[in-house]
Amino acid sequence: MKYDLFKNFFIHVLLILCILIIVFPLYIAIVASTHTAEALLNAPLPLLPGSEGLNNYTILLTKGAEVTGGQPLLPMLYNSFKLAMIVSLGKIFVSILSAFAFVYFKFPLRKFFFWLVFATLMLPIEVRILPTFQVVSTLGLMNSFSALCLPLIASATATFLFRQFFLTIPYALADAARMDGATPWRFFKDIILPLSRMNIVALFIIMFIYGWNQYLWPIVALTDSEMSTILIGISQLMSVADQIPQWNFVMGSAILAMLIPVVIIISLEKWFEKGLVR
Amino acid sequence: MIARLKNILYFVLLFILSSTVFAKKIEISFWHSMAGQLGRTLNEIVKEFNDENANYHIKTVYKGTYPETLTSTVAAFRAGAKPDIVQIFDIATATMINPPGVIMPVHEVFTKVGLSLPLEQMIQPAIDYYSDRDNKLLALPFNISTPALFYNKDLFARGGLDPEESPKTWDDVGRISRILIKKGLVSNGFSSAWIGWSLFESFSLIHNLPFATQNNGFDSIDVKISFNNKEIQTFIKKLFNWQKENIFLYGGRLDDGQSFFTSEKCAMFIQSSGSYADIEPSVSFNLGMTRIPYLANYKESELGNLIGGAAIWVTNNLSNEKLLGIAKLFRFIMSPRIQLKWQNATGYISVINSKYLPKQESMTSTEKMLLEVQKFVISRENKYKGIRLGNYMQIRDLVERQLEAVWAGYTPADEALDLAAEEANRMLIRFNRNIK
Amino acid sequence: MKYYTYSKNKIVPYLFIAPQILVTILFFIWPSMMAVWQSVQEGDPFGISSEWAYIYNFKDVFLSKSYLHSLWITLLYGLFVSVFATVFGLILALLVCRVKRFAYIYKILLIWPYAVAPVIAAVLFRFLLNPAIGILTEFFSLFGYEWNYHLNQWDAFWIVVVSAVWQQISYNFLFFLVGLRSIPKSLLEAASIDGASNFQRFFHITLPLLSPTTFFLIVMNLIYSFFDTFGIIHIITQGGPSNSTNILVYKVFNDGFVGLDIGVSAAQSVILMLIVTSCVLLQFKYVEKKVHYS
Repeated sequence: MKYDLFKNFFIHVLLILCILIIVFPLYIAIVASTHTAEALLNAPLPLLPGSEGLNNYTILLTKGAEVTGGQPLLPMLYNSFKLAMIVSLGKIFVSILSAFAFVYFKFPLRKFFFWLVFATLMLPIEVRILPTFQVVSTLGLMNSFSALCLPLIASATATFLFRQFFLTIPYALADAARMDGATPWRFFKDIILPLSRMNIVALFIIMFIYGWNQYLWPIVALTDSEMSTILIGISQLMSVADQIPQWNFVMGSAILAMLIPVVIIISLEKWFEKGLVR
Repeated sequence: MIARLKNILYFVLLFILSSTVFAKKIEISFWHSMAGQLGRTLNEIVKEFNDENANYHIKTVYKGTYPETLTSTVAAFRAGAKPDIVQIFDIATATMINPPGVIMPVHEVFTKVGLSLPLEQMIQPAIDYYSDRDNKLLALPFNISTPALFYNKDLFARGGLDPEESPKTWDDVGRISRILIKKGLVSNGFSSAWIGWSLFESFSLIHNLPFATQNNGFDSIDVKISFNNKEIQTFIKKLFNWQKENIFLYGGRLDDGQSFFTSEKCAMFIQSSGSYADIEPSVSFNLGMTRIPYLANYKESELGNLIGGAAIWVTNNLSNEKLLGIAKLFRFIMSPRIQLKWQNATGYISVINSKYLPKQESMTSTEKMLLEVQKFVISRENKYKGIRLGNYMQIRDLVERQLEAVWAGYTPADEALDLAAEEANRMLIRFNRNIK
Repeated sequence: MKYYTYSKNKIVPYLFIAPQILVTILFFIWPSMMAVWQSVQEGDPFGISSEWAYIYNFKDVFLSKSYLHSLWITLLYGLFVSVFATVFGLILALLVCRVKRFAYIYKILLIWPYAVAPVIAAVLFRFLLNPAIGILTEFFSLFGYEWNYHLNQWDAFWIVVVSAVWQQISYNFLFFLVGLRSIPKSLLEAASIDGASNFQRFFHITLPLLSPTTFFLIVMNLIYSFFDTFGIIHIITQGGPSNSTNILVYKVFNDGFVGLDIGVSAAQSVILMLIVTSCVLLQFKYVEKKVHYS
């Protein structure tokens, strides 16, 4: 008994230690975002929050550009949100349908299409950025949100996960449905879709974050600064040539940029986890 | 019947005429890399131009950093959606003019529309850098800066040195560093930003050392690297030894090392002159800026430094109307009033010689300093106009990588330079094969 | 073994896969084919002149020492990131599984980095480990270690690995936690009664039952370390110092995007495609045989 108590205590201490290590960078970022840029130029950096926080965040959200570069972050946050929504919903739509077909149908060229789709897992957009840009231009989609979203939807992560899930659904179920004379569409709508509810939410979270966190493609694809996402804003802050990085603003925007996805993952955590438990 | 037809014809004619008169403005797209304060100043200038010229609308688009803008331009070209004018950084000059057909040289633009640029008022090194072999202007030098030595006057004073006596030669830099380190005022003497440009290439240029054959690539594209010469080897070795003595502190390829200077870990810092306006208000000490150090056996008057920054290029196959608008815009940008505004707001060097700039009633210390910077580049009796190489970005990159191997003690200086030259020559061959 | 419910419908399955196939063809196959085409062409960046290069681009790639070095660094990097992320994720999941109180809070505090973009993680660590002002840099100097990732190749390697692992642990943790909780208690209890030690239970019951999760995570971690960490390198080291963090994706990007040598960059894309495809194929073969979906 005493041994167990000690062990339990030890586990808690270990966990708290790990969490402190993981939270530390965030803490420092929050601290840095509450000081003046000047306070962060010299070596012993403050370890406790300063008094400039409100001021820094107000500037970042409403004016932004005045001090360092780019524009206010508020519209950028909205753009990121829009991008993340379109990408996640679009991905779920295309992948649940195709995963369904791949698992429950036998049709000519099934294997071929399967690998065609799964190949997208192997060559992410960073590697084919120039050709993708050309394709988007050729299709006349330049400078539109479709240009930003569509190439990001063309990835099979969600299909992969839906397939994994469908494979865990007992064969008997599908078999029974077929025996009852259900058409594939009814089987999909009445059985698979309700069963996948959890997975859809879980995937929505994953894909939302995927969309929100896109970095290189938006930089290349967007010519209109009004469509800038928050990560573009940060990269502009980081790379303003011939200027001093204003760490208070960089850290402030980093906090703002992670706020929405972090809140989503924490508040929807129950769904997220349940969705993964079959 | 005929009368009616005539009427209709008149009507149609009238319609066509009126539509040209009331035609919507000619839009000229202008891609650039000017973020923040720089971007805002650019937009102000463009807005002023648009307001003055009712027929034209210049549409500025920020396309990210210099490399990002270049790549976007390339991709846009391939997709047939190119911008009309684009700001491209210095080291991509060879890329823009080889093979011909990508751009229209600025001198041709002006000949075609019958206007001219105030070339005699513009500073020679800026014209030289963006000219062809026959000294004809290829692109409009826009934002110009040069490597400079920044120093902390307060630390100099505390070390018993005269803060107004700026370090001139590399020997001065070494001597001052030793004094300050010995007194425990700093841990290191100096650091540098953009090392490939501000230390390596600039050293080669101000000492009239050959960087590559064919006048550093200005005469032909059949170029071979020659930066692996004795003088540069000696210099790199010196820096390596200084690093061991804590005189030199490596701060990365970009400008991260600036924190060493602003946090007073170093007393001196080599950085683009364009940074003066940003560093000056943000540090608590008195800031000095002077020209880049040279070897003691060279005369100061002969030394004009390398320019950097970017130029505005005109893409090929534009309508005459657009070209006229562009020429007007360029003349507007090259007006002394705009150049002074640009210099004071951004810290870049005015392309118009300072003696033609409007007189200023009262000047801030920064504005005074900025007027001085032009001297760093003009008083040149240099053998070379600059450096112009194909695949220059990769070459600078691989030089910096090899130098990093030197600083880390993995490769001796002479060997590293030879390796860099060998790789760079391969890059040059690739470039030539690609553009043929 | 293979079993399909619907095998007679001729058109329906194509309707189901049509949207995905369409986006895939337009935005994946087409650009990828373009990359393959460009890999055998040589021409200027603007596409004004271009002609057959045969295998010259590939030859140039393999002749360059820096490419072979990048290959090696990528493997090393993938290995470190995958191993650390998987192992730490598993350990944390095992720990959280053990506690009765505060488990929910611990979980929340452990999963949030999943939502943080690699780029943001890089921004955080670049600040923490900044050679001039970084707090951890100060901390290291107390032990006499002069941390400078601009200078020291291993410092650079570690800052990239740490940023990547920090961001990826939570993903692994969560999957392992879900996996662990789905293991029937009765199974472990039965083993316990049979006198199996903690270690025996872990290695004979828990680990095998986690094998689908582990497989999935290893694939995801590798893909993550090969590709998604691009932003980390872009923000922190730009591939340096020397070539120490110049992983393949970054090199493809750098040669194509910055260097504008489209032929060489495309050739590297093609090689990368081949490498990753063969890896994933091998693993799929393995998983189809060994992992059972109940």
